[in-house]
Amino acid sequence: MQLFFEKLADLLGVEADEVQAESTLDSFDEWDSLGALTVVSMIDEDYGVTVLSEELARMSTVGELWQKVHAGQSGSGVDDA
Amino acid sequence: MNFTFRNMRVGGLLVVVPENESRYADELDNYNFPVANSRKLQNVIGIDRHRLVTEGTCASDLALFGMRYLIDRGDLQPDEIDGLILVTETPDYFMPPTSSVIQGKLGLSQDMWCLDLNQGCAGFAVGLIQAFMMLQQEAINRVVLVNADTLTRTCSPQDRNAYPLLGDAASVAILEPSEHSETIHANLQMDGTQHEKIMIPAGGFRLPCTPATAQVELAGDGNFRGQDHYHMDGIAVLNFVQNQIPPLIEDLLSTAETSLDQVDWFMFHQPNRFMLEKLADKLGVPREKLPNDVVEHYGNASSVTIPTAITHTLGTALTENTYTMCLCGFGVGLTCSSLLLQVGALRFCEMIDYPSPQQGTV
Repeated sequence: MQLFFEKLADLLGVEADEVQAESTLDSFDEWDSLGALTVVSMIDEDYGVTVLSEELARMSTVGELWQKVHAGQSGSGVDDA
Repeated sequence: MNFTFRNMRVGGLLVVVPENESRYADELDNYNFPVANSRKLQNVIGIDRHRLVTEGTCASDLALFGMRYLIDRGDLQPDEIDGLILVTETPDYFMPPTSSVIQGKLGLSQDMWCLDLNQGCAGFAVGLIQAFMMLQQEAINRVVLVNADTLTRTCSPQDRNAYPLLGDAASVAILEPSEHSETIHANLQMDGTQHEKIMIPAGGFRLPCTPATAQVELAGDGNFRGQDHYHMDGIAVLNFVQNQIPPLIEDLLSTAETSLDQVDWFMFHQPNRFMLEKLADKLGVPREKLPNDVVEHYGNASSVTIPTAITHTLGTALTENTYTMCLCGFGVGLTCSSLLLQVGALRFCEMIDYPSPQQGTV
């Protein structure tokens, strides 16, 4: 989970400690659809999990995004990248 | 769905781009995001400058400019055209077909077939399949495939999700019989359940344009646009591309009994550099064999991006050399389509500028 938060911080251009499970995605300046595109692509590439646009629209926090990534991983048996 | 064609070829390829250019660096104040944030995105996604028509220029203007250029140089004989396919999402009118407008203005033979196709980013691949189908008829010996769009006129200039990525352009491809018998392989997938993912909601008969649809509002993604404007769900398109395109290409190559490394060039639709780098990695194709820099030079002009990628990357080399090319388009519909064919020994392969009607105005 910590690694995921670090990757997220890097893509969103913020310090690692600014990304917490309770952080709301909308609170990041970079979180518009093009910024989200880079995050969704990272999740697909590094974790083998597809986050659909409908799912993303229902998520509000970083923690919810991580849950999706984690659940998708355990389903497919992919190790934490 | 799979297709095969024999004894047909691309005879020539011309791309027309408006000479009017806008730089992303000069547009940053239009967007509802911090300037530093917009600058960072420039490098990640791959945005720099794009070509836009000036007010009043239509798809047919770009198309006619290109066809007249070829006719004047003797590269295209008007009386030899048996089929004219125009692929556009930005027609001059609801009716008549814009291909008929072009036919009339060029004074082409009446003994021919004019056909408009409403397709977007998959439109070069879909247009080629349609052109090859026409060529299967004995009465048809030469088909002109015109792809032309002026999407920037449909897009909110305050939509950072789309405006800096889009461009306007037209291409003219000549399709003709060939004595070479290599099989051309093609395939096509359509998913109409996702038709709302890339759309202009207003302006048709379902939702006619009104002052209310023209109202520009802050959308959920931080951009300003109205229902009259082009709208793209970027994540849905990314999902579609990452999930649908690799199997589409694998299926094409396996049907053609061709391996990835036997393909010289992967000339794909150009949504942005970022998505194409990811796609190349996912396919296992070296990034240098899948050009990805059309958006940062010209913008994404819908179905014209594949011809633009070909002429920008290879240019006149294609008048001498022949390459095995895998073409792939994906977008509106949602539609995706790919082809595997030999392209080369073209009579012409170049890009020309469409002059702005009035210099200095944007």
